[in-house]
Formats: sequence, C-alpha cells, structure tokens
Amino acid sequence: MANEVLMPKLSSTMDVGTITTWLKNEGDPVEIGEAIFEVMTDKIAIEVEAYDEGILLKKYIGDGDSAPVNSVIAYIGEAGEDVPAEMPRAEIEASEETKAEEAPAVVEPVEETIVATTKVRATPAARRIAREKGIDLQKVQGSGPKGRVQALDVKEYQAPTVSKLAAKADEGELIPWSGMRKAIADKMSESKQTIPHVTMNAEVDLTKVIELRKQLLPMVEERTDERLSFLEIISKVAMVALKAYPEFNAHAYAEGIKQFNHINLGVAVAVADGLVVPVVEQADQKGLSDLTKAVKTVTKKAREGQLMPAEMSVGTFTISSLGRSKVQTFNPIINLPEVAILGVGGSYDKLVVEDTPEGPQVATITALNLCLSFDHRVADGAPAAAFLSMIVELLENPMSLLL
Amino acid sequence: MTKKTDTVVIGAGPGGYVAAIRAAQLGQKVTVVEAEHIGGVCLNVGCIPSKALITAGHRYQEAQHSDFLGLSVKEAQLDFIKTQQWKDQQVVKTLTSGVGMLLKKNGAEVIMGRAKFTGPKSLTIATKNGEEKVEFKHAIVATGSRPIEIPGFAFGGRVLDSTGGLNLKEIPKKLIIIGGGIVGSELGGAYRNLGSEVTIIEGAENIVPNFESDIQQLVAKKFKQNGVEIYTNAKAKKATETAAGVAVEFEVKGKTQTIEGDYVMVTVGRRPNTENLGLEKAGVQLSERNLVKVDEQYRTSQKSIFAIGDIVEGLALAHKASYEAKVAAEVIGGKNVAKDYRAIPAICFTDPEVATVGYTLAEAKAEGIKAKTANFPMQANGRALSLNATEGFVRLVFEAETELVLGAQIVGVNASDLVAEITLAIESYLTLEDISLTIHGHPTLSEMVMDACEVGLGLPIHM
Repeated sequence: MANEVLMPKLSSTMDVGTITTWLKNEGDPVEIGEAIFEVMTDKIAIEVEAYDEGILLKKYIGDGDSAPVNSVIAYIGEAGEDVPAEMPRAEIEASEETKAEEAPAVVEPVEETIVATTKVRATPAARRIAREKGIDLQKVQGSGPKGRVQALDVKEYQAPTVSKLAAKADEGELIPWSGMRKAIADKMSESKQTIPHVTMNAEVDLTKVIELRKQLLPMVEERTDERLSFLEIISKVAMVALKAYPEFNAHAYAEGIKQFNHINLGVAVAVADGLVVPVVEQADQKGLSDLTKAVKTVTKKAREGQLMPAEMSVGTFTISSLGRSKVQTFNPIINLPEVAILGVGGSYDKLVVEDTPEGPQVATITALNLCLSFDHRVADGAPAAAFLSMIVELLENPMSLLL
Repeated sequence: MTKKTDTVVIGAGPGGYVAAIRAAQLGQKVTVVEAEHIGGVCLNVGCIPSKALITAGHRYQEAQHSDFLGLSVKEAQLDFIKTQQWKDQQVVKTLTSGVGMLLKKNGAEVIMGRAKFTGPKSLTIATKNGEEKVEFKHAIVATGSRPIEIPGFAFGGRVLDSTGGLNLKEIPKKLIIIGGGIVGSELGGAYRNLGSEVTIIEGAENIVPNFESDIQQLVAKKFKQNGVEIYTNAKAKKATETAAGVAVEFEVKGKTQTIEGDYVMVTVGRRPNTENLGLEKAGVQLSERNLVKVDEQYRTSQKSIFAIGDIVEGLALAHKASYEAKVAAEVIGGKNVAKDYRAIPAICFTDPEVATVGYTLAEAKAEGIKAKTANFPMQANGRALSLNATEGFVRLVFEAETELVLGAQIVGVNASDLVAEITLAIESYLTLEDISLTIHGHPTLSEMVMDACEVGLGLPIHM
C-alpha cells in the first residue's frame, strides 16, 4: 500500500504549511531521508524529508499551495499503485486548541470557498462581466442577499489581478504575497490590529556595561569561542527584571493570560528575505556564557536558514535589536501571543554633566535607548514603567546583578 | 459598383433593427436590407397592430357594458374604417417611422430590397432600381418568419393569413379561425369584441395549447361566455369560396362538418424565412426544420455570418429576437458576450390576458427540482377590484428549499406587465423574500406579486 506524505507540524503555532518548492516530481524515486519538498511555516522555510522509500506517486498540491498540518499532500509507493485522485480530507489533530470545525479541509483563500453551488446565484450583469473578463463566477464572493453575486462583486474581484494594477500604474511589478513575506504580513497585521500597544522609551548610560563587557569578553570567548555583545548582557538583565515582573513573561489569549515560570527568549533576526524570531528555550537558566553561545548559534542558523523546529518554538518574551544602526528609538510590534517586546536602539555618544569632587564637569558617555512595547490589555503603565526602569538601573549598576 | 460595409443586417424587424442600432453604437458601419417594411412583422402586421384592434374591441365592449357603474351609452357606434386608420396611422406608422429615425440617427443605412448571399462576405440586393452588390465583414440574418399555409387553404380572397385578418376593411359578420394558438385566440377575441361571430377550429385538445390546462380552461370559458364557438381536436380540411363568403370543411371525431363565414383566417404557426437567401452559397447550414444552426453567440456555421430571431431555435418571439440581436451585434463589435438568459416571458392578449415566464410546476418537477407554487387571486387585490377586473391570479413557482423564484403564470388584467417583475426576479436569482421585502406601490396590480411571495413564505397579509 502506498504511504501517505503528511503536511508536517513544524512548530506549535503552525496550523497551515505552504509548499515553497517540490524537490521531487511525480514519478521520481525517493529514498528515506531524502528531502522531497520545502515548506514555509509561519516562521521559516524547512526542507522535509521522506519517511518512506518508493516512487512519489501523486502530489495533491503544487508549489505555492497551502494545506493544513497533518493533511495528506502526497503518496509514496510502488509504481502503478492506486492512490486517490482527489486530496483526502485532512485528519484534524485533536489537540485541545484545535477545534475541528474551524480547520478547513483544504486551505484555499477564503473568498474562493464560499460559493458552493454549481449554478452560481448571480445577476445578469454580473454574469456578463464575468464572461467578458474570463472570471469564474464560482470564485467570486457575492455581496448580495444570500451571497448573490452582483456586478460590482465581479468588477472588484479583478482588482487584485496584475492587469488592472499594471494598467493603473503602468510601471512596477506586482509581487504576490507569498512565503515568509505573507507570514510576516499576516502576523504583524494581526498583532497590531488586536493588541493595544503602548511603547515606552528609556535611556541607558552604558558606561558600566561597557566596562563589564570588556572584562567578560575574553572569559566568554575562552569558553565559547563567541564574542559577548551588549545584546546578551541586555537580555540577561531583562530576564532578571522579568522574574520581578512576571506579567511581562506571558501570553495573552482570548480566554485569558498565561504566565510562564521560565523564559523562552525570542531574538528577532533579520534574514535575507524577511525576519525570523528564533527562540532560546529556558534562557533564564543559562549563565551569560551559555546564553551568548545559544543566542549566537540560533542567530547564525537563522541567517543560514538552518533553524530546527525546536529552535522556532514559541517564545515568551522577545528582544529586537537595532544596535548597530543610527536608530535611537522605535516602536517594536509585539510578537503575538507574547505580551511584551524589548527594542534596543543604536548606541550614541552624549554629553553629560557629572558631579565630581572638583565640581560639575562635562563628560562624554555612551548611551542607548530601550523601547518596551507591551500589551495594555495585560499590564498597565505603572508596572511597565517599573519593569523598564529596573532594566535601566540594573544596566547602569551591573554589580547589583550579584545581589 | 460594389458597396463596402462592416456589417450587413438582413431584415429590419425587432431582431434586425435592434442589431443594426447596437452594431452602429459599437462603431460598425451598418447597412440594413429590408424587403417589405421597416419594423418587420411585429410592428407592421403582428404584435403592435393586433394590440390596437384588441384595444378597439375592449373600448367597444366597455361602451356597451358599463351600466353596472352607472354609465349607459344609448348606442355605441363603431366606424371600423376609422379604427383601421388609427391603427395604421397613429400606431403602426408612428412606430415604424420612429424606428426609421433611430436607424438614421445611429448612422445605419437602409436599403429597401431583397438580399441574397453570393459568398461568405458578399451579397446582392434586388431593389426597385436594379441590383446592388455589397461586400461586408459580418452579416446578421434576421429575416423572420411567415404564416404557414395549409393544404386546402391557399391564402387569397376570403382565406386570410394573420396579416389579412388585421387589415380587413369591415368587421366580418362571421369569422372562422383555423388554429386557436396565441395569434388566433388574440384576433378571435378582438373580432368577437368588435361584434363578429367567431368560430375557432383547433387541432389540439384545447385552445392556447402552450399554456397549462387550468389557464387554457380559463381562456376557453371566457370565450364561451362571450359567445365564441370553439371546436377542438378538429382537423381543417378545406375552404371553398361561396357567393356570400367562404365554406370551411373540418372533421371532428371522424365527422365532417361545414360552416360558413365571411372570412376564414388561418393561424396555425409560422415558418422561418430561410429560403432564397443564398445561405448555401454563403456556407450557412440549416437544420432539418429549416432553421439556421447557431452557437451561443448566434454565429452560424459560417463565422462571418450570424442569425437571430425566428430563423433560429426557440419560440418566435419579438423580444427573444431583440435580445439575440444585441448579443450578435456585440460579438461583432468585439465584445466577449453570449446567450445567457434564464427565462423568456410569453404573453397572450386574450380575455383574460395570460403571461408566463420560467418554469411551470410540472416542468420544474420533471427536472428534479423540488418546487412549490404560491397563488394569489386577482379578486383580493384592490386595484383589480377598482378596474372591475377581478378574474385571474398570480401563481409563482419557486424552489422549496431556497425559495428562489423559478417561474410564474399570471392570468388577468395587465398580466403582460406584471410578468416583467418576475422575469427580473428569475434572471437576478431573487427569492420570495427579496420580493416581499420590496415595497410595492399601492394601489397597484403589482402588489399581487408581493402578496403571492408572502403566500409562498407562509405569511400572507391579504389572504
């Protein structure tokens, strides 16, 4: 019997996977462990290997198509074996958060699945426009009573097509939403539209952190071969502060707020075609040297597209750094379903007046801004300010970490 | 000299003139060829003049029978010469000259004469002044149909076709009609109302056989009340001119009878005008019934030539021809359109008036559709009462589950206008609720459509 190839669930938040490229064609021989397709999750593209050997008998979805996790997307078996002509209905994973009725059997853009009748309920003008423009009425969602397709629905249906946009602008190329861009777009929109964001900025005098880093740098390098950067120190300090303000180490759901005992630290990493947030699990359990090693490792893997599913699991708190840029402050978007994100601005030199035994003196310090965005549904301004202030104070007096 | 044009339209009836105007609107250089009169049968010797005679008949009857509301006329006099003048000058000529103006306004040239194809892109026109040659890129054939002549009833003298029946100089004392279909029944009713004794001889089981039997019976009942004699299941044998008129021999249940009248009018159907057009030279194929074969864009087997109206498949109805005209002209004008309608209304101006559209209940069931009907009687409508026209009903056919309107049969005053709303409803996939939620003006007959929908929804206010 032919073996099913399922859409793998590659992260705990992944409901749907999109095939970016099939690496095998129907009829190709496949060996166990051989990559057969690349799938784009909500985070990253991963090559998926075959569990069985044989011939790739049938593919039910093509490049760029999506399917729910655990749905049968292909069959591997012996040449000539019978396989279903149509994609079998997805077996929906009966996990507590997946409601069967919410999971579509075959994922298509929503507007393409509403009209189910063979004879589409459409007005004469709508039918005529559809014919003229070569639009399949089945694909048009009707705005009229009981879904009747009106002329305007058909006219507007063509709006997203290349031809119309091209006609309007007569320049530029329309790049359809796909892959990582689509995943980022969806996630950012959802976050920004559902979470009432508040962002607070606080300046940090880096003088003592710079000294600390100087001392720690060779020690960490000796242990890990990695160069300690401010990002890891700020991460460590933020995690200490999170222990005091656990409301920011949490997820917000429609049903309520879930606080976590440990911290899975997300680190936003810019990659060639977008942005990923690899996660260092149980980061609060690591010393600065292990943390440095872990952060450097996931960052490097992210840039090379080599992240393993475990490294893309759900974070509980995220840090996003623009440390090497001229940007001083920004308003980071919370990484849903987390409730807070710490943005780190670029460092800059600043003149300050210092009290010295000789009286006030002008001095130059290095500073940077921390930009905390938090979910105002979950926490209020006062604790957020206290949380951010604690991070600043710890960074300005790093010796207190020992207390 | 050879004339060159973009699109030639042969025939200027409700198919041809509409095609010509639409093609011209879309930028085509259009030449219309008409053999008889602009407006075709419909405007000149069909739909329109017959309605004029029907109106005259109704007025004459109302003048004599309005005592019930206190109007008494000592003696209603009907000058039929004047009736015919009104019909010809005020009605027909107004319309046909209007069509001529419209063609002119849109820049379509009209040539009076008979067209004959000489090839797929050329034809000749036999005119009064000789022969003209025309080369075209596209042609639309809209030559219509003519009355069928049956053995024993050669047209001429006192044996009339519908055209002759419409143009009588006097009201016949006794008129015999062979064929009780729509045309025969309409004209029979009109002449009865104008004072003729009328006998209808019909081959089928009942008159107006295209309608459902309850409607046939309503029309037949009214004819009988008005004193029209009807023979059904009858076979007309022959007509013989006598000194005073014409004797018609026919057979019912194996028994031959002869009746006499002033005239006999034969209205047993129409035959497509597809002969003597040179269609074979143009490479246009006909079906075995002499209809032109067309695709859903009304293109014939010759891709430069289109055919519409009575010469293609379907009922010989002016409004069907006009629809097809627009599609064909638009295809020629470069639009990607095609035949795409759900229903065509059919109307019969008898007493009572009948109009139907879409499915009957039986037709729906035959197609496996779970359909129901909803009836609303004219007598429950205020406007019908105030018109003294309470006979008839509005019957809707709808799909039981979805309540989508599928068809209607309307009998009674102004059924012909009432059917328009339901045709729109069918074409637009409206449901009973869509119509019942639409405010209908009061007091109007149109309220019956809304009321019938509410009957279908189980929430009738006026029943």
